[in-house]
Amino acid sequence: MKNASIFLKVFSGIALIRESRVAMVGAIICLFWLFVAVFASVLAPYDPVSTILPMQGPMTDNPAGGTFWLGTDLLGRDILSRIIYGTQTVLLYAPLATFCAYLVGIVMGLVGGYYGGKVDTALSFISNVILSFPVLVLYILIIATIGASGVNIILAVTFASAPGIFRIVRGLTMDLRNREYVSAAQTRGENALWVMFVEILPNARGPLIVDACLRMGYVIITIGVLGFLGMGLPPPTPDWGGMISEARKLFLVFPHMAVFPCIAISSLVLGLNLLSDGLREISLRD
Amino acid sequence: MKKNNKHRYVKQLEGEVKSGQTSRREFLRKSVLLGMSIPVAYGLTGLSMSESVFADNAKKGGNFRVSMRVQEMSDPALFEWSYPSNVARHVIEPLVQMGNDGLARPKLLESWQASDDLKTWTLNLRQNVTWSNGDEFIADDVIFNINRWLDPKTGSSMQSQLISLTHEVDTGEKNDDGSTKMSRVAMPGAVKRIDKHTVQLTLNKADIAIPEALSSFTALIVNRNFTGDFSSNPVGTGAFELVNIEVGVSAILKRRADGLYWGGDALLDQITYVDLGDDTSVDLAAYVSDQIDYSYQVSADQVQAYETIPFIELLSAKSATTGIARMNVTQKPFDDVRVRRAVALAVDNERVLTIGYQDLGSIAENHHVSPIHPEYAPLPKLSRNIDKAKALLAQAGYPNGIDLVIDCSASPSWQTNTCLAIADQVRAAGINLRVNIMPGGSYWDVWNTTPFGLTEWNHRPLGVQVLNLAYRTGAPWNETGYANPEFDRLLDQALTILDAKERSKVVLKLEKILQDDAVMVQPFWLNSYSAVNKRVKNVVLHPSFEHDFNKVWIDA
Amino acid sequence: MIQLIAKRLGIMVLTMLVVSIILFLALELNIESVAIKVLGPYSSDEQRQFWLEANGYTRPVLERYLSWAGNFMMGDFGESVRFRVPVSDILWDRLSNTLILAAATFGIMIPLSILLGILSGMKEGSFLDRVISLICIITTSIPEFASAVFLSAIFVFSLKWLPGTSSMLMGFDVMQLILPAMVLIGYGFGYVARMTRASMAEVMATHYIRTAVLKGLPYHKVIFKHALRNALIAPFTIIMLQINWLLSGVIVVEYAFAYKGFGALLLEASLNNDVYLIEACTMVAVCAAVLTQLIADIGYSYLNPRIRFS
Repeated sequence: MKNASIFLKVFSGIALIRESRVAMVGAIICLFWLFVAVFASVLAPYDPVSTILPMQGPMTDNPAGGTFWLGTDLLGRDILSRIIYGTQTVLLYAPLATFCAYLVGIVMGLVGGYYGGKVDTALSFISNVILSFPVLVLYILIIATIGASGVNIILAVTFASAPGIFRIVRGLTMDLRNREYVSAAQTRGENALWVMFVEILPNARGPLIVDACLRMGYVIITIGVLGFLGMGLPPPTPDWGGMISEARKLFLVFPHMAVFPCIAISSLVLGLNLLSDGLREISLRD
Repeated sequence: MKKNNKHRYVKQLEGEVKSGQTSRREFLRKSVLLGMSIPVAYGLTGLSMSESVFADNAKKGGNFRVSMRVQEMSDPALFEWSYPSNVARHVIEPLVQMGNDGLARPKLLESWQASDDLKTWTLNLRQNVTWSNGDEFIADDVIFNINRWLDPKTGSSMQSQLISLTHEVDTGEKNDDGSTKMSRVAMPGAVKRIDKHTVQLTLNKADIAIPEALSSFTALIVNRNFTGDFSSNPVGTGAFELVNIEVGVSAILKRRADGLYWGGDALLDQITYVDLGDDTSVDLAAYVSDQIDYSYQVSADQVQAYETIPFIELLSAKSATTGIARMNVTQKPFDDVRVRRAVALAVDNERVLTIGYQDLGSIAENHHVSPIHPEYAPLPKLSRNIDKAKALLAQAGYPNGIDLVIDCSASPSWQTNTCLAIADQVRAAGINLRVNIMPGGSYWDVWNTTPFGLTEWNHRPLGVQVLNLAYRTGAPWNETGYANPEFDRLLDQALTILDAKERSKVVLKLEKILQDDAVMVQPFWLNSYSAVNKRVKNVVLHPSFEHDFNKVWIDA
Repeated sequence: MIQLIAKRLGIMVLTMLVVSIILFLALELNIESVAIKVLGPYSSDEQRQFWLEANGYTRPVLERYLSWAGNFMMGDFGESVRFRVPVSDILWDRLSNTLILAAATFGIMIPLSILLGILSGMKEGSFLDRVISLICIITTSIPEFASAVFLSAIFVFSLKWLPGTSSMLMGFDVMQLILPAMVLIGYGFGYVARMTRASMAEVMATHYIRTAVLKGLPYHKVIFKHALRNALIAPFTIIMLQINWLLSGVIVVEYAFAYKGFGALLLEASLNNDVYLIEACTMVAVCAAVLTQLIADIGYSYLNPRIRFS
């Protein structure tokens, strides 16, 4: 029964997007990249890690047949294929990291907002301490200490983003815990866990969804920046930020190597930003 | 001026050249080491000499801006990298300097002689050399420096380069485990003052490479009153003075004001070293916007980019610098020689050269002796054999392939590119090689102990020098843990043979042992590259990236 | 009010304390690894033991922490492993460089974004509003490293108007400041502009503004005398918090353009395990962030009449 109502809510949520043109455009962009990620093996002409023919410009022919639509990079790997497979990397790690951060942040926020008192003070203090670090400084320290890998990046993102989410959820929880349906549930005898996750959380979904889209955009940028600074996912994983970093030294001669991944990452983040903006517009209209 | 007596061995060399047994290049090198003056040696061989000279229209003045890491410079004997040595070399000078042609040239020395048994070396100091504080350069300066290098308390790497001047003594103390504590010190009488401009070195075994040791980047001569911090009191014999140094930012050298440099005034007014960090794209941008004229090194993957800049000239030098993907034979799974051989067989070194270094080098053969080394012996060409590699892996217990990890440093980028190229190659044999890229200097924390890693080895003039440093049982830089008594025995034998041709017969066996034991995958030798703004003249790239800008001038 | 400030200050000090403890434990708990980081990979066990004893590392953790914290507050940050000079010699120079960059960035970004925010918020839904909002969204989607690459390609390599690196070798050169500042401004102005817009739009919709307009007050008077004062309260705090963003953004920009600033220093220290430098840089960065948060909090409380007079 619970599942059905959730399904209905999601479905109506999707239909809601059509109310805002901005959200529609954003959603289309995001869906496009999602499509690319899912069908990467079909769409990509080459294997993203095999070294074929170095430093070819866009639209050059492969002597062994086929074309390098976007050219090849320094080590001879097809750029189009790397961008396509790079989508998989991005759309694997970014949502995963955001999801983990939300998991932690939501639990913390619900507990802190619902119980208040000392628990709340302690949790707030911890998250303030973490938030007092400039974001990139925190990432650099963490990655430099534990090393750069997919898992570590997810850990770092979770650690750095959870406090911000905690704050939002806490604020919403404190606001919502005074509603009638909450007191009704408490009177009914539901335990705290039920109240938090079944009554309060679903009613907070609006701002959280908006924040989630925005935050995922930040996470994508963060993964890109870490790749750019040399602390990203290890090669030869196709990672847009890493591709841009490698391509910088040849910008003079082969600008295409850096430009295409830049366009890719910018467009994906743009899609998420538009979606988030549109959703906020919709929720404000309600 | 002392008469330049021809060493007895030189006469033998002359005979060998005539009969074709020794190449003219090798004759040049040997005879110069034995004390013959370079012009005379060149004359005897008929080879043409290229010396940097000031053109007639050379102009005085200008600021030569060079991009290079600027490190601290307190004790020249303790330099670990060549960067501070490059700055310092314009202020303090070595006794001997290696030219780009691989020949040892006297710098603060005028000449040297070796005894017939190569155990006694007489160093004749250059006369009329004045320190920047007014002192005269005399034997006491040289003796002070050499004794400093040999003193264990200094901790200089020169001690191991001049090891034949030292011996171990009992300190009278005991180690933690009860064994006697030994200390390596200079032998009494090893360094003797003959007169004001002559120093004699007495070795405990024959060593032909003494001049080469004295040309090391850690062998810059400081004033006899040196108290320990060079950068705060930079007294020197050189053509420039250190005006300012800010670690991590810049170092400024100005032409020596008193005009007393023994080699004649330099033409440059100033040399400015700027530290632009490790990011190579920054260097490129700096060249393009005319913020620098020269840099320490240009990475091979940018050569094409530099070729498109019209006012930049690309310089190159063949060198014996290389990267070895070495496997530590004491750690699993590399303790099984079949696994190592499988890895080596799965790699096509030529392909790795193309992908990892843009074909800007020469193919290597997995045994660390370069064709430019005098004792190099050619072996049959290696070829990739995937089936054999798979078979070997199956024999070793990995019929379905094996997962391996190779550590490498994030910069310079060719090291990462090479590892990736190797990883791409070995996949066909079922070897899933993950490349662990370690940023900053963290690779150097593990270079010695990691089971599989790519280590850069700098150019050295002799093949046996590297074999001795890296593959002898228990050698300090033996990162592979390789311990083969047969190899050691042959290496000892090779080190006593002065004649390169003879030595190469023994080196052939050494090369074969290393290849068969598959201690490393060594894909290529690097060419060194740098780029200079065309208005700057007389800049030559040294294979070990040594800087000497005394004869550089700017055509503004 | 004073109570508020005192309380906030107390929290700030406590935060700094906790951060310093975490940092110290993370970096200096394992004394072996500290010795290796300082003396290098070639050092022998004997040399490390000797160094550890000579530098007081054999004392218990608490004593070491207190001694470190004490030194730190006196301004003695230890010696940098990579540069081999006292940390304070490098740190303050680099910090002032970053402050110059920050001043240049904020000096242009703040007026620009406030202006754009006001213009778009004044008439919500107008064509101008839509255009400005779109521009803002697009610019905040392009990461700093991407715009650094694009702008370099245009201004350094194609047009050759601007220098490619910003290392200020020959003394201060304002031309070298332009690209780094442009990248930061380009990314940052969008956010502040949109926040200002939101605040402005909210104020414009309030009763008293609508009343003023209906009363017949000239439009510009409405804006300048009434709307702005209230609309700018929230942006003020946003701007203070942007300093926190700047401390991050500056790292990428300084790295990309070789600007000898604080951000590049922190990055280099982290990549090279320069323990004392990392500690000092992090503490300074956190201090700056916390300080700006404090000022933002106090400023907001002061400016917002509802809170000030409560």
